[in-house]
Amino acid sequence: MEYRTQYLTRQTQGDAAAEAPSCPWPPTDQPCGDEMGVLPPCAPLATPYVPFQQNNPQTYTAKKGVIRGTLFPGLDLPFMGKVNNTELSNTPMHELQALSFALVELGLYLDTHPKDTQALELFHSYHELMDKGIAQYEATYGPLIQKNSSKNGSYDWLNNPWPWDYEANATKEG
Amino acid sequence: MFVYEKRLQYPVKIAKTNPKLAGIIISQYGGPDGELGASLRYLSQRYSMPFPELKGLLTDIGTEELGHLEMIGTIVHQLTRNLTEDQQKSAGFAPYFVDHGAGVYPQAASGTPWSAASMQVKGDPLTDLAEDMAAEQKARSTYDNILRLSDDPDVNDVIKFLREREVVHFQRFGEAVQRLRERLNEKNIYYMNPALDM
Repeated sequence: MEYRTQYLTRQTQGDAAAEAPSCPWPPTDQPCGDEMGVLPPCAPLATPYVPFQQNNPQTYTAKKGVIRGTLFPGLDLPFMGKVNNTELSNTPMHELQALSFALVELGLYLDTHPKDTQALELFHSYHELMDKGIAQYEATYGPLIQKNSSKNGSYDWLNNPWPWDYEANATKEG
Repeated sequence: MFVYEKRLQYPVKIAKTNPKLAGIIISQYGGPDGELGASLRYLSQRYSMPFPELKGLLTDIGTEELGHLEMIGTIVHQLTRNLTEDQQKSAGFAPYFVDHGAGVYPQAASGTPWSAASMQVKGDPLTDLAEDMAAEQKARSTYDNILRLSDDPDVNDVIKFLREREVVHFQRFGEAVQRLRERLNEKNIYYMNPALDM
């Protein structure tokens, strides 16, 4: 039970102990370029390591990020140079898709980097834009979620087009 | 619980009907490395994850994968809309058409129906995260192969988006392994199963 006891000891010391392992980890500054991650200087054997993305990474705008499939230039690793360059239009649909994508991407980042305050601020600023984005979307296309289906005095949830219909997807140019 | 948003994560607008290509893309709907397996894998693995950062990441990526499942279904649907009689009979699509018409059915391009045997929930966080990293690589390779096989720019635009998501998810799962290691005994991270013994 020696190892188990050691774990319990560390646990009772709380987060402070977890942040101070025998090798300094994670680094507090950005020791590598933005497209590089960091690895612990000392690490247990026989387990996979992916370089950890550093705090406060560079970001694309939401409109560029959504067509590239990532908000982070450092993670933008296309196949055989095949990249999307045509940005989405300014329709309420595309605005919402870009904003929502930025929130999804930053949400996953924050799941593994919950203490990155600058990423949290960015997440918050996109969230504030979402309320306006949803209002503009629903004024143009109808309800985004079923509970918003009675705003016009009729049940307009069923109205075509549905998302998989060709007609629902404006061209990227608008 | 889940609430449906009546929109796609990313626009899908396929101008040209192409049932043969639909028969290839369907593999990312119900094939061994497709989006259905991805979403069910992550959403099912959540329950035995002992730490909040792992519960959260699996919930969030699993949910995003459901959106990708819908996008792949949309590609298949739009590639098979308004089929002519010749297109219904076309080589490469008739075997699918006889069973499913222009419906979207979860199967591999080979015709094998989707199977939970293509995924795993081991109930051991390190094991499950290693599976998830492999799953993201397999899906990324499948999208690479689709980009080799397809010359439809409308389809490839969407495939490039989905492929890049696999790269990002791989990165996050790799970071999740690090977060998990930090919670384990560094002298023997395999001392016990943290889903059962902590």
